[in-house]
Amino acid sequence: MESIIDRRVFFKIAATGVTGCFVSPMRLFAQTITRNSQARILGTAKNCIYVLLPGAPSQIDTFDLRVGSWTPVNFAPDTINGIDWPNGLLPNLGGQLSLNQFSIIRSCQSTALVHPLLQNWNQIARNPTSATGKIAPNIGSVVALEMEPQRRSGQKLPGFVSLNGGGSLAGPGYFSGKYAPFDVAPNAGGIANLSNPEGQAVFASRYNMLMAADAPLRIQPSRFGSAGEEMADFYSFARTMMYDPAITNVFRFSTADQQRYGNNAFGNACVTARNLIAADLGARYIQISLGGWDNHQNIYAANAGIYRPASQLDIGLASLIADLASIPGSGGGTRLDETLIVAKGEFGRTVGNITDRQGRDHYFVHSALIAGGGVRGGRVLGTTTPDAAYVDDPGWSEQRPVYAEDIAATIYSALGINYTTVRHDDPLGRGFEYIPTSTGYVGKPIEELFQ
Amino acid sequence: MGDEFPDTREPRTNTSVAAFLNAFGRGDRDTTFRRSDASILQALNMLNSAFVSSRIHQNNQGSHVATLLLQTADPGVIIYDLFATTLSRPPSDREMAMFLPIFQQQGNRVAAENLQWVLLNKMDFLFNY
Repeated sequence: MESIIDRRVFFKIAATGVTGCFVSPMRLFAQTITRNSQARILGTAKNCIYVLLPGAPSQIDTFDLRVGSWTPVNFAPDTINGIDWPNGLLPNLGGQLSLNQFSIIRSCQSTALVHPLLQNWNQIARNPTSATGKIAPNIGSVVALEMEPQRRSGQKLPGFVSLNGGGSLAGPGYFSGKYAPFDVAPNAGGIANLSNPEGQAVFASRYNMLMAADAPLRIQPSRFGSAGEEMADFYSFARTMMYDPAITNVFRFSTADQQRYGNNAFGNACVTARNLIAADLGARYIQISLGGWDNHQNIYAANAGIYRPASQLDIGLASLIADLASIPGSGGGTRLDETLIVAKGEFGRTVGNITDRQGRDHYFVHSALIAGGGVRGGRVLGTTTPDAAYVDDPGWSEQRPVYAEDIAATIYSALGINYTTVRHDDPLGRGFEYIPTSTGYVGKPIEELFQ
Repeated sequence: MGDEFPDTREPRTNTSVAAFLNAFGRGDRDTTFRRSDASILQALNMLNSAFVSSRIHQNNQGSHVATLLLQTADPGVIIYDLFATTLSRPPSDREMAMFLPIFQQQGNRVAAENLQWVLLNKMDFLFNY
């Protein structure tokens, strides 16, 4: 077998003749990483939890409250620390706001109003239809790659864990599958596939048989190329995660916790995120998805419309923030102090009175919640005009609205990652910029949040 | 959904199959592209998913192992057949020599189930098929 030139090798050799003149310089170039070493990096956080709210929440009913003839009485509008707040809709988050546990950005703006496009845009920090959009990794994959050198022995979880990712979850782009989101749907009993249905003894015997049978193929260099070596690595990685009580337990939680977090899929994800951060098993970026916000119709329908997702967000996220604030961190503070939390939709919804379908349609201005990881809580960054239709004061040094790229740059900077990094190892040979610079605006960390 | 194209979240009623397909990067043909690269989640699925193990059980009616064990009790024939049907090639001499003693030790049923699992997790199955 070894002496035969297979199809792949043949084309490799044949291609050298045609393209050899530029193949070798590309190879040298492929190792280069460039960055602006003068860029100021915050480095205030160790982990990040990104709560994506696909469907786009109505900002004037939540984080940028406007009370009008449309406002249901049970929203119970209130003012907490000088911030207008729907205390009937979001009572638990209101409680955390009164404790200064989070801040609000009200000057967010989106560049388009198409759900999948902007959901992807928010996760990959660039226009998905731009040149590098097709190969761009999720922010979480970049974080996982950057954090990999910090992995300690015994930290067996992938760097990027996704909870209830769903169809909108962006993947690792051109990065290795090692940095792909480890996407699970948590429930109290733990997650599937960490144990074998035939039992540990049968599994161990089968796994040994597999390694014996596959020995000639699971070597480096692999006959299947780097993909083969990666696959062999993934099997080893998977094997170490199995039958490890620490790993099994981090995905389990008590009925009491399940109830306290709301007893739904989002609550289960939040309690799992808490466990993951508390256990510190190598997961540094956690993405959670909570949909249900696309309220074109009947937005104020009782126990439906915005009430259902808002109630889930309120109970789950408030419990997560409260719990992280009560767990000691590794450096003197709490786990909340070292974990940046971002919650936002891909865009916002129309303001003023509701439509003739009793709903709100897509709109570009929106808000974000941001907490922990060095963020000073209890404040509002940016304002919108009295009718909430436009960004009035952006509230930060760039003097323009906050875009998805700014949120990404803020996450990178808070985690100590140089957001100006350009990796010249992308398959297009263009250079992969963590934050793209060839756009009308260039994403910058919002340092005002941390001051 | 009625008259629309099949949803890429299908099969929604069989969540273990849907999760399996998602782990293999089927995408949503809209903005999340279909992917062919590997991941840890895929390895965990291949090792442990009910979607895989249900295809291995002798007591699972219609599984190839079940059919095969009804047809023959000759370990050499069973090994040859499982290699041929899973990998589209006969076992090498080394492989035959490795698995024959296992059939003697474990008995045909257990050994055939184990071998079928091994073949579905073999690198050549994962990469060639």
